[in-house]
Amino acid sequence: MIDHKNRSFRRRHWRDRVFRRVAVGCVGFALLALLTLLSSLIAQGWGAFVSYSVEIQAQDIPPNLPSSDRAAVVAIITSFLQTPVTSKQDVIRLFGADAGSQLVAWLKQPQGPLRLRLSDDADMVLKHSYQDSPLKPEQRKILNDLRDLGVVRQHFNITFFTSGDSREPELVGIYSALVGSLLTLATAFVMAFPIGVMTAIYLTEYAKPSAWRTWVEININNLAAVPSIVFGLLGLSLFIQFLGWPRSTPLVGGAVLALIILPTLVIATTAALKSVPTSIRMAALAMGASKTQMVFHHVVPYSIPGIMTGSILSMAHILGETAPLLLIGMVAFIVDVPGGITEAATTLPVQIFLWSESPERAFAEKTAGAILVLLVFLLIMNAVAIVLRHRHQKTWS
Amino acid sequence: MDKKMEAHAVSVFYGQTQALYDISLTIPARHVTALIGPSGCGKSTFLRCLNRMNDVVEDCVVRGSILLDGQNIYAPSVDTVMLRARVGMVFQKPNPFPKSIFDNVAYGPRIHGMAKTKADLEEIVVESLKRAGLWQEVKDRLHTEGTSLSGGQQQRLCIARSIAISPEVILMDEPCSALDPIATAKIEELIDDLKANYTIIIVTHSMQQAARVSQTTAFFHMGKMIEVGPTDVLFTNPKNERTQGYITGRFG
Repeated sequence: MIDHKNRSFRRRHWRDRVFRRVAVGCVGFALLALLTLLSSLIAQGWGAFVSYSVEIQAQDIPPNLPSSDRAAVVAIITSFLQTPVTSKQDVIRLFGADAGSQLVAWLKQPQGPLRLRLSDDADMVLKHSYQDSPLKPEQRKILNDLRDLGVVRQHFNITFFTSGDSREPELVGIYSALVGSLLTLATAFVMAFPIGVMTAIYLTEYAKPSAWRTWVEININNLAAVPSIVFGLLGLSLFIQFLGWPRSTPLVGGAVLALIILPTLVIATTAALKSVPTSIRMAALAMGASKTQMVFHHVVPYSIPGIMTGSILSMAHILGETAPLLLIGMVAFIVDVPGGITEAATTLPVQIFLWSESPERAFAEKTAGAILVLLVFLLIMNAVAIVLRHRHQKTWS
Repeated sequence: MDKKMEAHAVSVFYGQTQALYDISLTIPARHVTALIGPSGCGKSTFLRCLNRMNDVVEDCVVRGSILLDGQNIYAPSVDTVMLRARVGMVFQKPNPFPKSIFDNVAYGPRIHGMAKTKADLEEIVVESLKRAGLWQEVKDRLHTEGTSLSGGQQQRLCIARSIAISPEVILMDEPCSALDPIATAKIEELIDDLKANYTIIIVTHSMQQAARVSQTTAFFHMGKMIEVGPTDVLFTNPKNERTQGYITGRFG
């Protein structure tokens, strides 16, 4: 008897250990996958936050520059290098598309050294020293000479955060996409939050149990599982074709995303409301509170942390949503920062999608860089949700 | 002796099952009435009829009439909000709101518009806490969460909360069952003090408690009221053999 118990005891302990090791292995694998993702993104994306310029001091700029700005850039560089340059094209090729306007701006207000942005190809050579660069050997030689003269400066790529999309990789930025995302998210929140919360309050607090209520609840749960692209199609036919709202705008995008988060919001709010114990409801009613006073003085205020957490998480969810926005035309090439919800805009994930399709090598790092920015926003939103949940956790007696 | 409440032939149904059978009981004013009986005998159900808390329960039907100062509280014209402002309730498990001690007590006066000024409201809160015997313990921390108090203090907070709206009747549903003996003793003392101003009806599992705090006791069994009488008589000289059986511990 004792022997038998001993054997079963040992077997149970062995199972315990096996289970624990398998679980630790799973967690380890998940962490490893996450680490790989992050490190590969950082390895690819760091370049988006760094760019190179050539800095020429005022005294090194020759007088009597040619009137054409591009020719003037060539003249400054050739005079600085003090070696003859066979082709002007070789110099121009090294500088960004806006080098001419940078020079014009500096000439108007000559403060500090003249800064000329390098082109994406030159930038890539400096960052990665590619052998198969599209730059010709002569062009690479000029770049090397400039570097040896110590005028090539590395600096934080502020343009990436202040400008919109561009055909030129050295000029692109995520600012207009960020503003587009913000406007779209705000529209979605304003549309979905009141409807979602009121629906949840009605269903949990007021609706009497009935076949109808069950039917509605089941369908809300079903809606939460509908692929988001289906909502994109719905938005296309309902908002754009039927209602005639302007396409490619945060208004339509926000409306579609509002439809996507509505079920999630209702479910999260319902869960938060249901977590308020019956004893608290009874206490309020026994004090002579009416049903509506009970709901709005007690149940709803006590579930606000839960409702906020649900809202933030659903916002984080749609911040990364791409497919439905493609269908309603938010995939446009947007250079300008959208000024309102009825102007054409794009969002951060759509911008990432657009860049990822571009053939230029420099767009690869911009894509990864934009993904990193998106991830930072998602992390911030999730962190806020966690802090809210912890800080306002209620203890019920 | 004044009659505060009267139940006439009260029957309660939860759907198909009948929970109470023809209960008729008179509740004297400024007096403690105890309802005793084994679990599931219907004493809590009866208590919840007295402020119509059973209305909240789906498919609960109450038949018969209950009079408060001669007026039927189940008449269609009666507003449950008004009724509950007159008949307060303290629950089995302390259930303070997750708000400050002050706001817990101030909630009732606020929704019933009992205080014109902030000073009035403060006076009501302080007075209620004093009557509930909690003032000395909480006067320095009125703005801490009510849920941070100990179990016994929470229950006295709930009593303070219900007397803040000056009810005429206070219903107590096993108010000490979640408390330790010392906290229980405090609540019992409090009930003894409160009966000077309020009519109290208490449901209890403990016969000793019924004997200590009440003047009238009603014994419930299987949804029927078996016997009612002055507490000392009922405990020393019960007429019904089931009452005898219960108080001597043969079943329960």
